[in-house]
Amino acid sequence: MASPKSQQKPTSTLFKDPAATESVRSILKVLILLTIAAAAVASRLFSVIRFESIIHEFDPWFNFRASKYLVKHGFFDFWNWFDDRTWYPLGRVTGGTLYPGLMVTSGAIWHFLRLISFPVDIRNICVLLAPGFSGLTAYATYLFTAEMKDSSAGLLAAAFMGIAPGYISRSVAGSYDNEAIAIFLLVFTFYLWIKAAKLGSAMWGGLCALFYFYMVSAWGGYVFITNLIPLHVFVLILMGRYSGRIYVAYSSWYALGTLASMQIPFVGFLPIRTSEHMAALGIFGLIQLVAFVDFLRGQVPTKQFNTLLRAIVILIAVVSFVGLVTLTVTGVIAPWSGRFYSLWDTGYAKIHIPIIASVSEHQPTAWPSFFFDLNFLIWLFPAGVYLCFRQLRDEHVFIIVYSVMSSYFAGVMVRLMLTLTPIVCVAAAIAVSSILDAYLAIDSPDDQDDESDAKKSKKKEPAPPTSGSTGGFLSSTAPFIGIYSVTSKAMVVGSFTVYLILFVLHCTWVTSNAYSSPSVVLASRMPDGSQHIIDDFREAYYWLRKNTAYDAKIASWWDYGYQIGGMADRTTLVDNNTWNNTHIATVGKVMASNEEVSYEILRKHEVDYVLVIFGGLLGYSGDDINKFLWMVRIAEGVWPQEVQERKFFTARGEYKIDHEATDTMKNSMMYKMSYYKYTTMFPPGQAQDRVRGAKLPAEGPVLHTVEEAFTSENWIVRIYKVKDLDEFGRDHFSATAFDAGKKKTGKKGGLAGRGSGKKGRRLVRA
Amino acid sequence: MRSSYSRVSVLATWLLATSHLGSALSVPQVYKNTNLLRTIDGSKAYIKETVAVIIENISNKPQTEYYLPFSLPGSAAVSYVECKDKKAGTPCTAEPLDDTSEYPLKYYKITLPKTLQPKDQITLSVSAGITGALEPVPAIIGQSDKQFLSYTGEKYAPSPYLTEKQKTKFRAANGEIPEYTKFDEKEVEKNGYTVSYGPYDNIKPRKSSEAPTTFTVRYEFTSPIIFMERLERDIEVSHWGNNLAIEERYWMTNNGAKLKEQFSRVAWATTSYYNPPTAAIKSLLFPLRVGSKDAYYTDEVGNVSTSRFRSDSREAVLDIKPRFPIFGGWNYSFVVGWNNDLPAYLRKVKGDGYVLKVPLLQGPSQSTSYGQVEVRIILPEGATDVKYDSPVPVHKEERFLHKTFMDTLGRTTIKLTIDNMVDDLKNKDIIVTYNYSTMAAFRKPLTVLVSVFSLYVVTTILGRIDLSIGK
Repeated sequence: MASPKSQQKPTSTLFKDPAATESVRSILKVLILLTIAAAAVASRLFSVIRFESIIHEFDPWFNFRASKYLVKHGFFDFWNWFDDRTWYPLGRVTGGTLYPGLMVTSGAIWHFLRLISFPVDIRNICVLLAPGFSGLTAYATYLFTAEMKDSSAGLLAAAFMGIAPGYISRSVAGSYDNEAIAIFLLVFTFYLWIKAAKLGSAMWGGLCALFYFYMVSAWGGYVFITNLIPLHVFVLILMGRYSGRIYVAYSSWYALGTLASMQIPFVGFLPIRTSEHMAALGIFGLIQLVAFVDFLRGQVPTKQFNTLLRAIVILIAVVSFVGLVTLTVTGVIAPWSGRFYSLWDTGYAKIHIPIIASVSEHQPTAWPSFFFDLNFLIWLFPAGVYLCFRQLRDEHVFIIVYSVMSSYFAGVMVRLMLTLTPIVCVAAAIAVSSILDAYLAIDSPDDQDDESDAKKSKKKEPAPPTSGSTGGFLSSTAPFIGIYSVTSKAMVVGSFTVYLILFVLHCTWVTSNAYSSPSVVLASRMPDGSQHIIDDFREAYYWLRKNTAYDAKIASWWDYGYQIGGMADRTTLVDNNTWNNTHIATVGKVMASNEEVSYEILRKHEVDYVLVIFGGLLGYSGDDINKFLWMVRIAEGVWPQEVQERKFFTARGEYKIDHEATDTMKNSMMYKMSYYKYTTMFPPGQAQDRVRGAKLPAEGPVLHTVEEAFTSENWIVRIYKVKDLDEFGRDHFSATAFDAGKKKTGKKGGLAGRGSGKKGRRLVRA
Repeated sequence: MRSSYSRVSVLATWLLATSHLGSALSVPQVYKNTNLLRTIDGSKAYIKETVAVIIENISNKPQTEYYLPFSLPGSAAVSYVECKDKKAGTPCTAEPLDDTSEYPLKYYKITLPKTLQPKDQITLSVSAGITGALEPVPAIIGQSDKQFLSYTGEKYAPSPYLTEKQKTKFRAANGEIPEYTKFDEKEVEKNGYTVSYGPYDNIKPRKSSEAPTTFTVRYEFTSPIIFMERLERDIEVSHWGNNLAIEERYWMTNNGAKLKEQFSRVAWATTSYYNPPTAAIKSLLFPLRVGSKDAYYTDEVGNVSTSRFRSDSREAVLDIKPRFPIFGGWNYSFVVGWNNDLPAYLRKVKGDGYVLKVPLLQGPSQSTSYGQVEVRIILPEGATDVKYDSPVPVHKEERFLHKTFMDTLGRTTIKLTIDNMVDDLKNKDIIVTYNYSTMAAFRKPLTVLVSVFSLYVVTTILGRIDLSIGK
């Protein structure tokens, strides 16, 4: 955080030769930016150092798998990729239903490194892509902020952006998701837009369109740009600030950018067919009209004619708006999609599309998380926006519009904290830099009575009034330099230094503790304090990979689809690309129904193995029993007669798994598969579920139609094999009953109930 | 030369097979076996058969070549044959014959260490590693049941010569031998770990049309039968790094008895509490050369945290635990690697010459057999005149350039493929000699220097180009 101070140094020491000052400044700037980029990259490497170079979470596993496919089969095969190993038996047209920007980026890096004979493994490129791009994001933020105020604010913003937890949460090493490159593209596209709007240059507009295209290819969040830039233009027009510059910038961006974005198969004709993109199109039409009117106004001076023109403009606007509404109603233009409705009404998803609501990152943001993710930036943010109002050039309007929109969205959905972070960093940097400008700039002119020094201070003087002319104490600095001023300076600068240091400490702490766990691997502490890795997921996935048929079909809840595809390399029924609600509901029904119903569905889908996640032994709370209600709800959405959420609650409306559990609960496949044989691990009657803190019934569930195939060391992953049809044509219930009857007379299984001896382990969770 | 010879022999085999001529191999009857002791060791994951025989030249000419067959029924195959003069300890060479007409016998031509004069005697000790001869019986067992293996061999040691006196000993893994062929003779004896057949007097060579009399031993085998279907071993020499990097990629399977039912974690957790012997692979121990360091253990889905590495001045041991226990028929693949200081393995000889001496095969300390072993020796970029001397016959040799980090041409590499190895062949050194000039050594730093400099020049030029249209 030395950037503001070191930035100030040259102004007071090297002033004799302006050219030398300039070159020293630029060298310092480059050095500072490099340091910031290094800090940004380094702070994201916690997980690599603590664990290993591994892909995190869920979605990155798909992106990783797709990248491997791209590298192995080439670009055109990737483009036409039909994946028959997911969504069995439907398959997925992967090439046409993904944003290829991320994979193509890492594929290009992979090829480039091979070219200069650095054959780096694609996994390492994928793991380190996000940290690498965070360095670029810091640079883009610098450029963006430098356009708003000056380069010292830019450096501050770059430093904030580099280490703000709100951005780190999505860009630690291994978090190989679209956001990894999208945030850089977002900020850089905005920078290019500001540049284009400032200069009215078609070249910058074209560049902006180019990076907009890159952004469209990389992340669904491009819609944010698609709506924000038109909004900026619209607000400017309303403010009466229409100019040729805006016209050139917007027209070149919109025309080129839209055409380019339509080249992505997944986007296709969406930019002219859906409501989300209509604002941009409307503003494009509007700006043509405004330009036309502006042109005519120059030619025809009559006042009456102006009134007539205004009437025509309003008429056309109204007609086109009505046309738009009609087209939407008739269905030519698709209405808003469910995800967008849930942005306006937070309760919408829960009622209509439970599958969206079931994702934790789609929940509304809790207040503390603003402070958690942004620390002191969040209270400097309004100050920065206020300072923008003070100057209110065209680009400052952009900041205001951006902050209003993204503040709202960040409040609605946790995930969109990500789009808020850049503008918070920029606004806070403007605020901090203004304060430092005022309190740090003129510190020594009176100590040395140099001729040039006086000149310098005079030259410097006109600068502060722009930011602090209202503060009477500032205007009095020149005549009364004394103790009063120095202490206040010291106080303010000192307290901000403390804030900045606290910010760095906070960011490091948050990154280290909250955002650096791969979630594929869990860390726990042994009684002696040494780290113990709980690696159940990979244990089970690797077992599947090595010891089942290559075309075996695995049914699991959709959360684990990508991981099974990536680590176990087996065909899955559903995965995290939740494009088919019915298919997911089918799996939900399998889990929520009793064995007869489920077995039939499983046989029909040719399922070989069923995988469930069970955290009861270890206290791993993200397990399937805790997610079970969502499965029930999603299944109920499709089969309201067959699956009913109410039946899973006790008479008092409690969700119980112990002896009070309802019969529906106890007979559901999920319950049975989770607790099958679990009680035998404990002394009789002592079986306990450590997540729900409940004592289990002494008699464990009995399974007829599936058999346990594999259970990982800490029972987190349990895999069941779906039985074939009985050899003698019996149904499985009579078959198991017959076998059990026979076994009673024979030897008894010698499984003395003993504790597993793992009680000492405790999960460390963020 | 060799291929035409084999083609002739294939033709001969075919002719003999169609004409039912019987014995195709006409071994001159110039010896008699005065005394023969055959020891079959079944305590490993493969069979080690040792024949100690006193032979006497009964012809009137001096002799140098002696023929000895091994019986290889079913999918069994000989991994290696070693031969020596038992008294003097001098080694002799054993060479396989391509002839397959005597199936299931596989003949070896042994060149005696010294020419044997008429009426003279010599004691030979020939040992062979034979894979694929053991079979779990029953083929499926419960998760905590005992595993039994069955071995079937010929009652009389096969030989093309008259054997005056012979005895066969079978050594099991422990004293638990529930079944063995008894022949209702007094010569069969079970004593502790061993079952012995014989002595038998004056056994004539068996005609190939006769079916052999066989004996079968079924014995308890408490360890897993570790089989590496494939091993890729990279030995990479870096002169600049002063480092010898070894990486081994294993495709492992357990050839023991398969599980009767599915795997039960409860049973596994409760039994492993007492740590009983099991037929599942729980861990592997790699004894490395002293001074090995930076060991790692990964697999296709990343790092495996359950490994321990200990390296001190006396020993270096890498102890790894697979992600899950590997029962009969289960598969697992993994990668282990480590570094060594180069000076212990590389010596400079006159001029630009270097001699590298590294173990051809290392592998786990548990008894193991290998299906196919590929050893890649990656020498520095620009190494020439590569020659090698392998302690084990090499089945296939390839030479190519391996291009990796900061290479312009690629590193000189030889790839040796050896089929069917067993752990008896571990820790035998392969010697590689090559030339590596100082010029070649400076290629890499020069390349880096030139590329960095040209990058600098290019950026400087690009920075000076003014692309603006108007001022």
